Amino acid sequence: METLLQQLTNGLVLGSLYALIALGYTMVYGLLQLFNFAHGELFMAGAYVALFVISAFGAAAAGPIVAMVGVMLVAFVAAGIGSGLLGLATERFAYRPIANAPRIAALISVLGVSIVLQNAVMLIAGRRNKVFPHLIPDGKILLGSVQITYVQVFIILFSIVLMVALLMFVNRTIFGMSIRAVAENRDAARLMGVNVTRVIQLVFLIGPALGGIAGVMFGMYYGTIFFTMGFVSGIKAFTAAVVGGIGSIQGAVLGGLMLGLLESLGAGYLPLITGGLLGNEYRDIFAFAILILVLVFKPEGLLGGRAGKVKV
Amino acid sequence: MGTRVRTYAALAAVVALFLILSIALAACGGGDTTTTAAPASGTTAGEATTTSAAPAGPIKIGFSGPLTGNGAAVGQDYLNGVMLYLDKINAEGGVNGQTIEVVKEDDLMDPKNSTVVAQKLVDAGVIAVLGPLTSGSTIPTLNIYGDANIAQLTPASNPDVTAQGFTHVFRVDPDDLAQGGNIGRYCYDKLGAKTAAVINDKQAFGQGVSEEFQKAFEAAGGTVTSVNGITPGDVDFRAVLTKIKSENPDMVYFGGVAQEGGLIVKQLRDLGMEQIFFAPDQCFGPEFIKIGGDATEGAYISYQGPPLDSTPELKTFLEEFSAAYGAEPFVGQFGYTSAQLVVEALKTTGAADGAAIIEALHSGEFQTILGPYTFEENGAMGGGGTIYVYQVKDGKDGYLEASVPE
Repeated sequence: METLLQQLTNGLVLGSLYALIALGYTMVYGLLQLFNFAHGELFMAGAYVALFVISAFGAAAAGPIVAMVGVMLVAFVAAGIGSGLLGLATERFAYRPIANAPRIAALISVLGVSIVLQNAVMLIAGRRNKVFPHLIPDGKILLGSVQITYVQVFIILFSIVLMVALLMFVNRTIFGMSIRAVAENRDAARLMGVNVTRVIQLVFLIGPALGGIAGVMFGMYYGTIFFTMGFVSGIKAFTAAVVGGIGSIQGAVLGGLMLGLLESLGAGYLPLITGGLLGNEYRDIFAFAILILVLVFKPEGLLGGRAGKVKV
Repeated sequence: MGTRVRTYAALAAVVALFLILSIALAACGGGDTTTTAAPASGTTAGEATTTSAAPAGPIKIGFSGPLTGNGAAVGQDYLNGVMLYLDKINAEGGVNGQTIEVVKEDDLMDPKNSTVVAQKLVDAGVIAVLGPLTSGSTIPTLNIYGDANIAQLTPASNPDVTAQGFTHVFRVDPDDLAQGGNIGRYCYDKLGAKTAAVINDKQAFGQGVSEEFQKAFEAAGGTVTSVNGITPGDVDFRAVLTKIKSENPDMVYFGGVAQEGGLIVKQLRDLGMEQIFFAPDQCFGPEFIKIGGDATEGAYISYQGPPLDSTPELKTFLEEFSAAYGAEPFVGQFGYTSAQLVVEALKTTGAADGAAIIEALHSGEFQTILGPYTFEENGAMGGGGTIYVYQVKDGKDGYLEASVPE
């Protein structure tokens, strides 16, 4: 039983990371019906920007509370701004010029951005994996027999805060209303006086910024970042967004958490379930097989409905 | 589409095709550049040619190893050892009046790349190749170098490397039968572990060495509680480790490379697991310690090389290496040794010829900084079997003792 709880905890943390990245995918799709394939790379770039800024400050993990909070703040803000700016640049140079062309052109364009970003980071920062500081002192708390490290607690709590903040932003603010309006009917929104270009820019700022923050959390959690980390995490988060219901914010969260839990439980219990036939390394196959099943029976995703709107 | 658009489209297609062809042709040439992805040149080179005596001019020796990516630390260190020796030889005037030119290729320790690199090196006219460095990337290249009669010296420790009937390949360190087998017994007898959980990365090296460990551990009387696979490139192993935690073994053996090893030991300790952690030679060196951080303290690593202060030759080598590269070597001594072996063989034969070197290596005994070397008929290191056990202390690999085969 304790093992199950531990697996669930691990899955929850992993799922939170996936959920944060999935939010970026779902928002851009909800607005533009565009799968922003560059998003995984924006997640990765955020981590690198944060690392660069922290190194410039000569940061350490432990220290007086103020210093620790300060360093974390710097890291997250730097990542958010860095990824946000890259997202804006993506919108300006890879999307807007072809905004009226068929969807496929924009798809290829962001795919190109993804390749450019990945190689740019590789050339600038080098191919070797980089060590990322923990930013939070190493330590564990014991809930029953479940070990949770401080970093894990932080990730879960901070992710909840960010997701709630995003929901409130989209629901309760005028900006959020304009986003939902443009998602629902772009021309009608324009007729109502909404500056559609600004709204698109806003989404290309917020989504990637969340991705960049997720990148910093990835670095804190695993202690290492590498220029290909956006690729696999990006695909998984994208899948999570689709399964949860692309375009729906809660869908992205649900999909991300589901995927994280499935991966953890799969790796932990697959040999048990299959009587030793399939080992733990089949966990990705297990997770994605379940996702395929979901899509077969509910193609618009679990919380999807009217396809392609930013819903709440 | 209108006629004009169609003409433009056709023109664009022709130009694009032309550009692609010229780039592909350009990529076929050149030997010293590091490869990024597997280029198209693998199929264009045609038949592998048997090298006859190289023309007067520099003697070409090839190097195939990971210079970028996850194994870069190992590959670069190995290459540094090679170059330290060959630069010395060249400064003294070369061998038999000819200087040595090293054709360096990056294979990212991936069999998809190492086979392409192999073809490249054969076409470049090398008479001997040092590498590839891992078993998974070496085994597919055996027939390419073998057909071209090029002497291949590799540290790849999987027994299959010398079990396929090739005569051109030489292993410069003990194989995994020794490493896994030795350590399996060692853990049961010396470390007192009665139960073990095994994790491996399902690659030729990792799976091979962990299987040998399991056989020896069980033969000594131990019980393996589970064998678990992970995928290289993955970062999150907590699920597997949590499952192992519920089995409560005395130790965890990991067969794989430093990148995953460091992450695994870190997540292991994060989960509050205090088991003995044992890893093979790929985790030797600073990379594993860098990635795993403080969690690596107390981890055991087995390695094929003795500590660098154990003989005067090694001490001298350590000083020269540190002076030349500003850091201590961890695998460089094997690179240096393999370069020594090739040069000594060249001096013996007097001819810069692949087949002659192969014969010389089979029939002679050669002195290197790691001691005397002979090779068995299948290329295995003669008399090899001693494995050295290290333990991470204060952020460095501290030497414990040598484990001699029974």
